[in-house]
This record gives sequence, C-alpha cells and structure tokens, in this order.
Amino acid sequence: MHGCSIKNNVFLLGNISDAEFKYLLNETELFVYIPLYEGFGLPVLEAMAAGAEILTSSTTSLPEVIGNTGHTVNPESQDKVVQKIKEILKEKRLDGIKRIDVISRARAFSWGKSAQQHMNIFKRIL
Amino acid sequence: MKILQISPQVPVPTIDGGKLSVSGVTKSLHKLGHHIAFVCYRKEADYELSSYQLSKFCEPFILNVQTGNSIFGALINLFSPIPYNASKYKQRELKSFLIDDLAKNKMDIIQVEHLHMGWIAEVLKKVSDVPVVLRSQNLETSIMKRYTNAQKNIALKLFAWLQHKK
Repeated sequence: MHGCSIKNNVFLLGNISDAEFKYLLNETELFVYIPLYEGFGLPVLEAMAAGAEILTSSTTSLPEVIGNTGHTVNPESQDKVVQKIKEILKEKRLDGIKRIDVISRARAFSWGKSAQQHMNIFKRIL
Repeated sequence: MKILQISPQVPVPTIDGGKLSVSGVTKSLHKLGHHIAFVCYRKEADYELSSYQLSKFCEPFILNVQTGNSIFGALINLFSPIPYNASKYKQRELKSFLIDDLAKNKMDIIQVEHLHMGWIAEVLKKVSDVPVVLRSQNLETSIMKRYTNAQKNIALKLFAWLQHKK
C-alpha cells in the first residue's frame, strides 16, 4: 500500500474481534469479495447473514452461494470489478425487503442442514 | 450412529474455512445425537486445549504427528506418484491407530476429511467393512494449476506443475 495513491482511503484493520466484524458487516454499504477460486465461500455467507449487499466473483461456487441476492463479476477483469462497484454504489442501498431476502438465503446454508445431508448420504449407503 | 471421523488437522480454533467446515459438521452431527470418534494429526496444536475443546462434541484422538512442509520431503516426493500435499499426510501412526481402533470398536460409518487423507481408504478397506465417505474441501488440482501458472520461480513452477500432473 505504501507509495500507492489510494493508501489514504484504504484501512488495513488487521485482526478484529467477532463483535467488530459483525458491526462492520452490518454497517457496510457493499461487501466486495473477489477471489479467483473458492471451495465454498464462507466470507460471503457471513456477509449475507448480516444482510449486506454483496459483490463477488462469477466463478466456482460463489454464484450458487449468493443465488439471486447479490451481484457477480468476472474476477479476472479489474476494470469490470471497478465498474460494477461504481454501478452498485450509485444505486440505492438494499431496502428492508431485499435485506430479508439476503438473510433468508444465508439461512438456507446451516451446519444443521449440512449434518442432515451427511446423514442422508450415510443412510443411503448403509 | 457411531461415526469415525478422520481429519488431517485439529479443527479448533476455527480460524479458517477448512477447520470451520470440519468442526461445523462434527458439532451438528453431535447435536443430532450421534457419537463421533474424531482422529486427527496434532501438527502445532496445543494438545490439552484442543482435546478439551473437541471433547465438548466428540471423542478426540489427537495423534502426535507433524505434517509441515520440508525441502527434503518435497525432494523425496519427486520420485513418488502421489502429490506431496497428500504424501506428507501418509503417516504410519494413523494407520496403526485405525487398525487397532477398528479391531476394538464397531463403527457404523467412517468419514474422511479432505482429499489429502484419501489414501487411508485403502487401509480401511483391508481391515474393515465399514463404509467410507470422503468429503473434499477443494479441487486441489485446480489450486495447484493456478499456483503453477502464477509462479515466477522456474524451479518452483516446475515442481508445482509436476504436483498438478500427479
């Protein structure tokens, strides 16, 4: 970041507490998470659980995780990522109903459901 | 149901997706009323603290095995058909433990966590008729391919390419 023109606008928070993390997710205008590859995408799910508006990669598992409750972009194109961020921030922040949609979508993924799916597989092969 | 879960690492504290995904499932299976015997390598984890934390939702067996990377191990791996990220987890302590444990305890199912631990299926099949399930966290070959493409150091790039091909 040193010597970079954006250094005054980017804050490297380092380790933060769970409470601080929740606060940031609740207050964020846009959660941007653009990996080239994800096995699943737990950071996106955490942001969804807080009802955040999300921009993430259009690759691997991420479109499946956010469904139609967020925005995706090609992670290989920096220009498109920047353009998409600007577009979203120009639009109105998520209203109450959309926030509920995002949170509901997040609740579709739970460890309880995951364990139940494991049990279904176990029972099928036993 | 009695479940034997085999993991390459202690899944607490949940500081990354790999640990979170393993402990999340284990805790939830426990909540559903199942008994989970959990076997893993210690690596750098604190044995006492990890055992205490795990014992809240499973019966832990932490094997005192280190599986860190080493240049020597990587060089030896050049002559192996198995990727280094899998071969370093191939430890006789686990093999012995499982042979011994499965002789004494009847399990209903065995769940193996992460592709690196897939080698154990062959061992398990020889000593037990309990069904084995493998849960893979990532497409490891894709990760290695991307690492190969991004690597600038020629020696590392060649090593990564060989790993990807394996």
